[in-house]
Amino acid sequence: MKIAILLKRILDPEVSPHKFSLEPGATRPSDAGIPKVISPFDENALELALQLREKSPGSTVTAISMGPPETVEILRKALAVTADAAVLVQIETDPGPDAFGTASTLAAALQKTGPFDLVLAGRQAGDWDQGQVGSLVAEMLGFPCVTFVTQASPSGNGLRLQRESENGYDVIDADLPLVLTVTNHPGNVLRLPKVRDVMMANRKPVTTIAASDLAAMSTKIPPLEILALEKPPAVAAAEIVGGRDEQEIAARLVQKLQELKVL
Amino acid sequence: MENIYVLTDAVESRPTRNTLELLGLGHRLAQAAGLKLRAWLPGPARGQAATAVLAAGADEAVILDEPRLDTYQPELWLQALTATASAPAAVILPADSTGRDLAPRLAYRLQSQLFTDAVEVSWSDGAVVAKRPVYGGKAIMTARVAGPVVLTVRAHTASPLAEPKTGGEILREAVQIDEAVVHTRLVEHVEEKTEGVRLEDARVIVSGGRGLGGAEGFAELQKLAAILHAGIGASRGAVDLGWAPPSWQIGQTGKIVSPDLYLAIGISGASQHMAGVASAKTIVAINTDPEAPIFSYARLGVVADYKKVLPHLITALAAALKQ
Ligand SMILES: Cc1cc2nc3c(=O)[nH]c(=O)nc-3n(C[C@H](O)[C@H](O)[C@H](O)COP(=O)(O)OP(=O)(O)OC[C@H]3O[C@@H](n4cnc5c(N)ncnc54)[C@H](O)[C@@H]3O)c2cc1C
Ligand SMILES: Nc1ncnc2c1ncn2[C@@H]1O[C@H](COP(=O)(O)O)[C@@H](O)[C@H]1O
Repeated sequence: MKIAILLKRILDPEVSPHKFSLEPGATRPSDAGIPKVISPFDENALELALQLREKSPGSTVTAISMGPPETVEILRKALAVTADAAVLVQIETDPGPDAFGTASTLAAALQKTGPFDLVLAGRQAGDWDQGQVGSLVAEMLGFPCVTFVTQASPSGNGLRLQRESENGYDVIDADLPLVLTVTNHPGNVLRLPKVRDVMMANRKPVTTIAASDLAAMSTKIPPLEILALEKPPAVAAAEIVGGRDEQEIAARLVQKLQELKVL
Repeated sequence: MENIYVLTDAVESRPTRNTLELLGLGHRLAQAAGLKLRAWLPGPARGQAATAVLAAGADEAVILDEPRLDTYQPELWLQALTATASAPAAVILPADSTGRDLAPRLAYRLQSQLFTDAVEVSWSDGAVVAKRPVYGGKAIMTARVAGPVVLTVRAHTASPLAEPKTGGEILREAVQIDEAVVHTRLVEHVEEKTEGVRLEDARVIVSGGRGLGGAEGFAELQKLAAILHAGIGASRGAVDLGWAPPSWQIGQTGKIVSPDLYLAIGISGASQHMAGVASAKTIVAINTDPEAPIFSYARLGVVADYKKVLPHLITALAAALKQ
């Protein structure tokens, strides 16, 4: 199986709100002083790709990311957990929230470097939180798509999947070629790289393709017209319930809850 | 004339709470824009809810009259929705596992714009204007969408109509289904058993995070939940460690809940988690770290090790609730 995994490099989503700043009128946050990481659900998707390769000998995993040249850092991380190949689809600046544009460039890159039997993406990127690109890539490639997948294994000519639903999960059999979008599960937390593999990763080549050289499918659909990007209204600080010891604290808390009539 | 569409869901003849919210929103948009609100009811089984769907705001209830649509199958649903969307100005889907699954593919097939996870939608100067949290809730984006748009809308962000609407028409559309498009087949649906109260309906929720230190912590939380008749939730941190099942996850990529009381124990209060409890009335936090962000969302806070507080809290609550 030839597997591609789409990785996005984003501002660390765990950064505390007070370090996150927006210039007035800007349509993107300032990235000063905030580390950039692989988007968390993409890590889950990468882990699933590596597990599938183990279950289906002879498979390869190719990591693909669209971003500015520094994006190579996250591709090195993918190589360090033993991805077989890496492709940088180079653009000038960090990608914005134009999902149709991103998806058509990635679909063209997949066609150029493929063909792939399976394309994995995160359920949503932890910056714009859109949850669109994976399914759009599927449409553009003409592949079926299963979203919110947590587990996958080879079955017959296709894959047997677990898809998370509101109150449990569905077991789904899907044909290849296929696109999956992946969500978090204890079984797909990304493994840690081995020291030796980190060193090897630095020597592996990363293929660079300029996005402008790709014959991306043109879409008639224009990007969203962003009118404003603002911080949410400030929230008030909690009233801290204290006391001599835990027993008194508990009693006071219950009293307060009764006063607020929420019990 | 252009139409606004809402994808509805129902259990027997009763539309779900989320459907009522979306129909309320769709009705207000259609009024403001001078358009017609059409509700899709996929499959004859959902068709039983047609009368209720009209009362909840639709001008037309369109029953997609094909039994193979009774159960959700994305490829068949996409085929049916694409074929029956006539002159759509806006298509409103729930931001749940169904709506989020369909939205990008439907937008692509209808060649329309796409706006996911909206928390506010209005009509202004001939276009949809919508807001959504981005960067895990650290920022709010407002965008104007000229032209047709597929939207997913978060639960608990729109209100159902206060009074039932009268009139409206029930239409049955025969849809041609081509099974050749099916490449994904449901083998089995596994329902996670939930003891106690469902999170969606819970008035009180007790929720645990990485600070609980292990699955044993959730056993302690069960005791508290039992006394409060509460549902049990978890942070992604706890779910990823396998201490709680994925269906307990609360947040922007878990469940969106709306309890009167939300007790967050050992949860730091990451914005992605707090997105799931934005409409909770009262949040109470127990956390060892006085600097934890959760204290800027909570009404009441306790700075302590939960292990030391919980036994006393359980005793005090049991006594208070007996009275
Ligand atoms: C795109 C995206 C989507 C996400 N979606 C979600 C989501 O839907 N839901 C979600 O929850 N997260 C989500 N996250 C993850 C989120 O950013 C946080 O990583 C997660 O919520 C942290 O979980 P936590 O609070 O349990 O863990 P931590 O952040 O590790 O916090 C643990 C807390 O416990 C406290 N503590 C430790 N010991 C004790 C003790 N003995 N007693 C009391 N307190 C103690 C600590 O002080 C700390 O504040 C998402 C992230 C991304 C990037
Ligand atoms: N610039 C990018 N490069 C590589 N993959 C991407 C890029 N943007 C989005 N993706 C993939 O698409 C998924 C969904 O992104 P989004 O629709 O932006 O939430 C991400 O989790 C990635 O797997």
